[in-house]
Formats: sequence, C-alpha cells, structure tokens
Amino acid sequence: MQVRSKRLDIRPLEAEDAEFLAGLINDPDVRDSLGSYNIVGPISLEAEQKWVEKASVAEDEHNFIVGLRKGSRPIGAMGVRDINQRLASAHVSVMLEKASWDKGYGTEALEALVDALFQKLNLHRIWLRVRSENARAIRCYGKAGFVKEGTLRDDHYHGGKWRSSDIMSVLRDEWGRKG
Amino acid sequence: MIRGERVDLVAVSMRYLDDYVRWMNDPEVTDMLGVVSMGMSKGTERKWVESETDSKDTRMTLTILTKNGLAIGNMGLMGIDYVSRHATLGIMIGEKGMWDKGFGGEAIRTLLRFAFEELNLDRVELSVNSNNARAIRCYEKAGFKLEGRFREHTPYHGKKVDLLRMAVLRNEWRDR
Repeated sequence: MQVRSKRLDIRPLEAEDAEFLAGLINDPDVRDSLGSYNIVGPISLEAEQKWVEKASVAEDEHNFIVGLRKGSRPIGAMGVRDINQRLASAHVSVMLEKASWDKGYGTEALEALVDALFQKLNLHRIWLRVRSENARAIRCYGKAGFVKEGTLRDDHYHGGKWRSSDIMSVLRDEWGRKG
Repeated sequence: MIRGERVDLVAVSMRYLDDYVRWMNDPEVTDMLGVVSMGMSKGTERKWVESETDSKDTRMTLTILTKNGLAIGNMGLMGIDYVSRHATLGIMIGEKGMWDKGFGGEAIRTLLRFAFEELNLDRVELSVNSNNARAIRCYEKAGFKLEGRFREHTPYHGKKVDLLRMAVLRNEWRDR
C-alpha cells in the first residue's frame, strides 16, 4: 500500500530501514512518547534488523516508513495491526523523530493512512492507544479525527509510577462527515 | 539508549565487537569477573553478541558509553523475573584507563533507576568475589547490601575465594 499526502510519502517498510528505526527507538524522548507495550529499553541494530526482517514481510499487519517528499528523507514510522476484517477494525500506531515534532506531520500522515484504510481495507473502526499524559500526541490524534473512548487505568509503569493510557478511535461515518 | 548523567547505556552491538574482544582478553579485567577465562576468540564473542541481540524478556545487555561515545564496558540485567520482580545485575569496565573514575557507579545508578522506575522491579541482586574490593565499595555506594557469603566458591590463582551476594531493594533505593 502506497499512501501520499501533501508533504509526505508513506511507503512499505523495507529491511534497509532497520538503522533508521533503531535510531528512533534509542532516543529516550521518542521512546517515552510511545504507547507500545513492546518497546522497553535500548535496542541494538541487530535486534531491530531481526524485527524488521519479519515485519517487512508480515502478511497480517502493515508497516510503513513516513518520509518527507522533499529530499525523500524518513522521519517516522506507522503500523497497522490487529486487523480484523470480520469486525472491520484495525489498530494504528505512529512514531516520529523528535526533529519532526510540532510540524503537523503526525496529523497529516495519520489522516492519509486512515483515509487509505477506510477506502482500501473497507474498515469500520480504526483505533489506537496513547499514553494519557502525552498531550502532544492526543492533540494530534484529535486533529486527525480520533475521539477518546476511555481510559485503561494504570495499564503501564513508567518513571517510577503506574500510568494510564487512553483508547481513541475514528469511525467510518465520522470520517465521511469530516471536512 | 538509556541516558545517565555521565554515561549512556546502549544495547550490546557488533559495532563494539573489537572492544569486547580486547576487554575479554585482558587478564586484569577478566580476573575480577568471577569467571575462569582462557581468553576469548572473536568468533566466540561474536556468537555471544548474536545471542544477546535476540530480543528476550529475561535479559537486557548493554554497553556503557561515555558522553563522547567511547565504549568503556558492558553491563546488564539477567534472569529478569517479572513474577517475583527481581533481576541479577552484572557489570565490567573493560577500559582499564577508566577505572576509579566513578563511571561504574554512575552506570549502576543509571541502570538501577531503569530497573526500578521502568521495569518496575522490587529487587536487584548481584554476586562479587570477596577479593574484589574496588567493586564491593562501588556496589555499597550504589546501595547494595551484603546478604550472604558463599565460602571458597570461586577459583582464583590456585586458591579459592568467597563469593559475596549483595542486593538492593526498591524501597531502600528510593529512600536514598
């Protein structure tokens, strides 16, 4: 699946992207911004290569690299998982390098991906999980049309405390009514 | 990367293989590790790095970098047990020129914070040879307390030395 937006190209993840992704995950500020339960600490290039090798050919999920069209430079990644075609539902995730925060890229990439998912995969509901304290991300998801559904109380531990996540989603007919 | 004040901790990587091999073939370094070392080939060390870079829930193996990116040693948490919520810490400063400068203590403080505040462990334990005064002092300063002595446990230059068991509890660490 190839997705384009005004400033971004969203293309499938390739094995060669491991170094870029390891760089992202090894930035503690980026890692702290993620809702993922699976990314715990530093990751070696080798371990990331092993993950990318599998993820780039996985058939039950989609992994993407988000790149700036200008200069065709990667700035982040997105994923679509837990795809259930019977329920017409899927989970999405997005991460961006720090230098590309606060520029509207996250919203733009997510809007383009959501649009493609509704149109091509014929989904009804697209959802995500975000750390409740991550105001920047929540603002971004809101702009992209996601609505808060509820809170997973104390679902993860970080910085010496139990913390919560929000579940947000966008439904197909809301999306149709949007702008 | 896990950021500390004077060191950063990064995942063990082939990028530092030559450093690892050099450290593991330095008798002054391996002498104190509590292992009997006959030297380590690059091939063996490469195999070790390969196995450590398989993501595992039970281990986290890290290379210690100074703030200007020099690899000075390895450390890690082994036997991470999320049911009992404890793990075993190990550390070596392989760059002898960096001994006695507080880097080991700083690395331990950084990893303990990660163990308690991110991994949510309750207890971190370790073993150390009784003749390794430098390490024992460093562990004590980081908050580890002596819990036991395994008498004449480890061969050392034709004799046997005791193995000490030390641990730090989350609450003690927090109160410091």
